[in-house]
Amino acid sequence: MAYDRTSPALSQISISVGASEQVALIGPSGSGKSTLLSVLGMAKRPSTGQLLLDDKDPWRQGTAQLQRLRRHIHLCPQSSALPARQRVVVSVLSGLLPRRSLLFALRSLFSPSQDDIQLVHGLLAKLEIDEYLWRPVETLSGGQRQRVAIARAMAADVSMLFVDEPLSALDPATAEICLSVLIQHAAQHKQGFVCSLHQVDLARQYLKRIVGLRDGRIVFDVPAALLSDNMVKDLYRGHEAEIQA
Amino acid sequence: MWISIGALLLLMAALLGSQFNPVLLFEQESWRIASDFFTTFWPPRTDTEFLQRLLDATVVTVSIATVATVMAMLIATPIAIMITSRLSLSSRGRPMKRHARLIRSLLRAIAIFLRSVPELIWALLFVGVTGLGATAGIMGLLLTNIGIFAKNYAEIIESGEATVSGHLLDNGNGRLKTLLHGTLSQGLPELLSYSVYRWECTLRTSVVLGFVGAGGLGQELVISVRQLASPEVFSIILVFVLLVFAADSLSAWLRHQLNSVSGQAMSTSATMQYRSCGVKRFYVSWFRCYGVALFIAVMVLFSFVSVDWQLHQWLRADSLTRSVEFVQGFLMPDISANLLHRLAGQAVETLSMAFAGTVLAGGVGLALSYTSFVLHLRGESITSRVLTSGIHIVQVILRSIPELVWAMLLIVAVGIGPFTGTLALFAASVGVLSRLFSECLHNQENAALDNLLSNGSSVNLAPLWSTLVQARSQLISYSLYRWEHNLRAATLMGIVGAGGVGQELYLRLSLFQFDKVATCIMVIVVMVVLADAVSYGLRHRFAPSP
Repeated sequence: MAYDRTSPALSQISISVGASEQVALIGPSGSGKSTLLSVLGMAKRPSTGQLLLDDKDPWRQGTAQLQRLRRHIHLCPQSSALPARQRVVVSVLSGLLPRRSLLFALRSLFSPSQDDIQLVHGLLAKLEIDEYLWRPVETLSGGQRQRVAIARAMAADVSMLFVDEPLSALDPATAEICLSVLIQHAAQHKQGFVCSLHQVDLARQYLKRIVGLRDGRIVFDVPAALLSDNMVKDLYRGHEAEIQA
Repeated sequence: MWISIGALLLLMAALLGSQFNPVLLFEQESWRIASDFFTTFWPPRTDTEFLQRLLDATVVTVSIATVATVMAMLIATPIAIMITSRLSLSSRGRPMKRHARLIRSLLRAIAIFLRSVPELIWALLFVGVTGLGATAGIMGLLLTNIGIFAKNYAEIIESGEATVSGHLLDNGNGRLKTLLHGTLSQGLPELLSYSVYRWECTLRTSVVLGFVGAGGLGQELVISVRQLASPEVFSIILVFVLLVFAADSLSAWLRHQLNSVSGQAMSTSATMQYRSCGVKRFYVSWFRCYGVALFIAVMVLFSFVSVDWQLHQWLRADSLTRSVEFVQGFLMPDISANLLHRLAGQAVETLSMAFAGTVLAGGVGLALSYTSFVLHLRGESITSRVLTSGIHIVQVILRSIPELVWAMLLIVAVGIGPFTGTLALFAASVGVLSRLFSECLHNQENAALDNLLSNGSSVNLAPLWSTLVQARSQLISYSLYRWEHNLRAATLMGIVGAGGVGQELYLRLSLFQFDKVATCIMVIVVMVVLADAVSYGLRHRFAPSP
């Protein structure tokens, strides 16, 4: 996937993500991480430049074709985007929705099949929230909701996962567990994985490639092993408080 | 300052325009006729044959309202889905395509047009085209309700969180899946609860459909009033009040059930309830979910079966030719100066009736609610309790009799003309406004009031400087809503002879001059749309947080 453009939010960006590559986006608030993710995830059209998915520009396709292409990716927004009254099990299953039939959509609202329930239960167990399987989302805390959204992303049967700040409401120990589960899952299913993070240490520890963004530009794009403390310091200059240990 | 002077001048103009003449109320002649009519109210007619007739008419009234509401819901749902930009695929991540925007605006315009013409006028048109009967009533209620449902469903959909449906669309889901898992998972209880409320409103209108020959209880009332059979009139009005009260209570109960189910995530099935909350609560919520659904289903089914669909009447040759004439009339409305001049005069009458009726009712309503608030502050003495319940009874009686029925009764006493219409709007609005005002005064924070009272202000005056000031913007907002409502109602007054554009419309329709009818309807639509816009603007200017 390659991408180029110039605009106030992002400019002179060129990045390509391979089929089962795992990438972390780091950088201070307002550096354009979320925008870049939503452009990569085909949620926003770049005003200039081009996005290519397997050498095809999705924005040159018709609406129906674009929607079909979107089924190959899952974009998990920072606001968990979960309907408050829905039960956790249904919310997680909605990750499967794009690839399944309308009948599944209808059935999963009322009584999901045993297999689907098992699937959701397994995902929630890995994230240590399986006890909330049947609870309405509105009764969950912010951190618990975030983990439901992660489970939903893991349920999605896609070739690319774009996850925006999945750990922002989690305590450090839980954050590490969730990130490792998420990455393992992506590797197991040979999914490409791009994730914006505030936890620089976790990013360096778990992801192989680190992209640093600042003021809408890519400052560095290096293998994690080559990322030095000075590069991180430069990236967050003036925003030191945002680097989380 | 200038605003209050302007409002005062406007009120005076409105009083002139509606030929406001309280002296009429006290003229000996009208006093005599009225007292003859009203003093023979008691005892109401209660023989079995008459009651059987009333029961049949009541069933027709309820069925018409239910059928029209359900059909309007079914038709308006896809329109609302198309109107809202929340479920637009083509505009995700880029500007909406031009044709998509065009279709949306077109649908919006159609919805506005449908709901700007009052139900009774649509019904009147269908009576003109296809003849008397229940189907004309159903069509009337249906058309206006489609417009109202489409607008409000779209608003409820848009009040949900945008990120939820956006997330589903961005990940490649179609509209239908997004509707199920995003929109309905968030807003279903609100949508259902609004629909029940709307059914209640439709039933209130359905009661007066008979005035234009569209079936039900209203027809019985017209016959009895024409014969000056006052015991019958009284019985029918009692049935009216009971029916409105019953619908009120049923609707409140249904909405309560819906809300309590939604508290436990209503978009899920019994099995999920069972897993999440154990056996006992499972049966309770099972009953709530399925019991209420079954009750509604039976009622709807019964209504569809019991309505006389009059298909033969619709398929008659002259109905068809008349439909064609009707459409032609609409395509080429009569815009001759003569007709426009007459309509302008009647439009001024209509506007005056609505304005004068609302302002006067606002004043009296405020006085009533302020009095009952002060009585409440004074505590539990016998006098205050008697006065409070007296005010309450007056409110209930005024509120549960529709404006048109008031007009019909007042015509007996005051005679035809816009003054009667103004009085009718005034009577019904005092009931509604004083109740809303009372609730509003009671809901205010008491801190400022308590402070004044503890510093020795008199109980009679202290709320003026605290509660009333706090409630100001809400009171204005309620009055403006009522004014909108009254303008719609004022366009109908002419149908029973109480002045305004309805008169011209009724006349032209009985002469089958559809091109002139079309002009009348255009005038009504323009007035209603303008009033909506003015009221919206004023509400946001003077009452920012209703």
